[in-house]
Amino acid sequence: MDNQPVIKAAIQSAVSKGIRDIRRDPNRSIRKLVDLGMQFGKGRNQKSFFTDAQSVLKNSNSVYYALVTSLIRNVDPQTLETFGINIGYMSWTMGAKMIRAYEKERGVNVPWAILLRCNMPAAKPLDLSRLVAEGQALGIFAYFLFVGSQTERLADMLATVAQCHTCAFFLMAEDAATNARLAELDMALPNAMFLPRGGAPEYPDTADTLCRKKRIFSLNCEYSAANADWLLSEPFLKSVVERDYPFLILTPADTCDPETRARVGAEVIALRAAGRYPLYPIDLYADVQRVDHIISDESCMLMLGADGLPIYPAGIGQSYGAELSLEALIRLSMPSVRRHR
Amino acid sequence: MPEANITKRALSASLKTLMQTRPFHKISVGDICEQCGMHRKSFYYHFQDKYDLLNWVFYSEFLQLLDSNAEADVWAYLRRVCEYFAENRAFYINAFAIEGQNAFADTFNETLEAILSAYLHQEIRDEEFREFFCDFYSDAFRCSIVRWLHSGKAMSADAFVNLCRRTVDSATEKSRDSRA
Repeated sequence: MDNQPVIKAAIQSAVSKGIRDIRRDPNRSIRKLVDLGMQFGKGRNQKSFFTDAQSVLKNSNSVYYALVTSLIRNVDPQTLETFGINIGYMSWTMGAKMIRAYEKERGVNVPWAILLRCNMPAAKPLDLSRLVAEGQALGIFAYFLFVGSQTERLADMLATVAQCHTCAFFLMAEDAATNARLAELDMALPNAMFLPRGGAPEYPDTADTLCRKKRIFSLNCEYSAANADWLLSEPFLKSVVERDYPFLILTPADTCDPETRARVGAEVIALRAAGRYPLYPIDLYADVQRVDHIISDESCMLMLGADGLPIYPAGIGQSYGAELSLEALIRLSMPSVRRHR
Repeated sequence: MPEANITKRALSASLKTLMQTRPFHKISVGDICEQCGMHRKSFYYHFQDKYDLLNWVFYSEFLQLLDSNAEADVWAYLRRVCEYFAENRAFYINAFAIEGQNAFADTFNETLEAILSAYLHQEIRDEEFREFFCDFYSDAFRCSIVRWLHSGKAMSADAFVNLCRRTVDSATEKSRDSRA
């Protein structure tokens, strides 16, 4: 019998106890959970994450104590456990192991996550449930779904999210109407992070609803040269914290120039290291590739349009779905592993 | 190794040494610190009390066993757990003897129930029955493990786990028969 659910259950029981302890005795238990992760984590991604976390937590006044305590206080424990295990174990441990094995055998890079732009017109939208099934077989357990007013069959998509309970999904709303639509959902989605779209100057008014429903959520802002300075400014970051967002995900606009992308990427890393705010900023494309690099020494990223045609890398010309399986698409579009070249 | 893990390991080793010869209730935080030359302040930076340290020893070593058996099946894993208990016999006999609201048995049962539930998910579809089955067999396993540890080396971990496996297998088969 497959032992993976058993391993996952044992880790989940340790994490569950850790979360309960944090409610009772926050700072000490946060350190203990991180130290336990360090002891158990064998993957490079985990080691790197836990080493950074241990270093930050040496400072007993670190704002990250407040960040974790607020997450534990505000998010449904089952959601916190499920989402955390799906990213930490399914994706960064088990999935990473499968990806490394595949890359070694086939000599082609496999992304640890897939970004799916579901908010684009598509004559025939791709079948998410098939994509996730094929992705899991390769070791891909994380999916960023960009949803908006043009997203077709949202109900089917959310049903797939609910069904694929060992994967982590990031539901990235792209407009105010979708912010509200996602926030009002009543279905249990412990494996999903909700990301209402916001930024200068307006904020989504859905944080209260998501907080009341005890979802795990993040503010999601699109940046370009026009608003990057504001999004990285002290007044903006403080206002995000005041609205109880634990994470800030910054995504470059399609038109954003490379210099702005590089500058935002560097500032996000500096912000995380400085730890001035109880907020964890993420530069989406750069961090997705950074994690990929940690998992398998080389970075790659796969972003698909709603119809399955790759947006990144561009110029492939063939779509996932009717024309290609995910594995065939990856072999066609992802860079070769260097040692095989 | 990071400093935090070094300190935690030293305190863990100290508790394990003391529990070889002394009942848990007769060991104080001061004794643990004295044994490894640490200051009490260091202890309380990492752990709330001695029960917290005991649970840390269990979880940290237990998860290491999981990792080294990632490819094996659940029974191979439980065999490794029992071998680990046997290697640390005096420590775990002492730990299982703790009673009250901080009883180590409760910590162990919680983990065992989670493992059994995951294992039996395919075997027993009826959720209510599965829950009862897991509670029942977790208690049974724990009591049997304690009895087995007390019996010395009369039976190997392998033989002991095989008996446990036969018990679960025959119960799940019977359960299938009775439904049919």
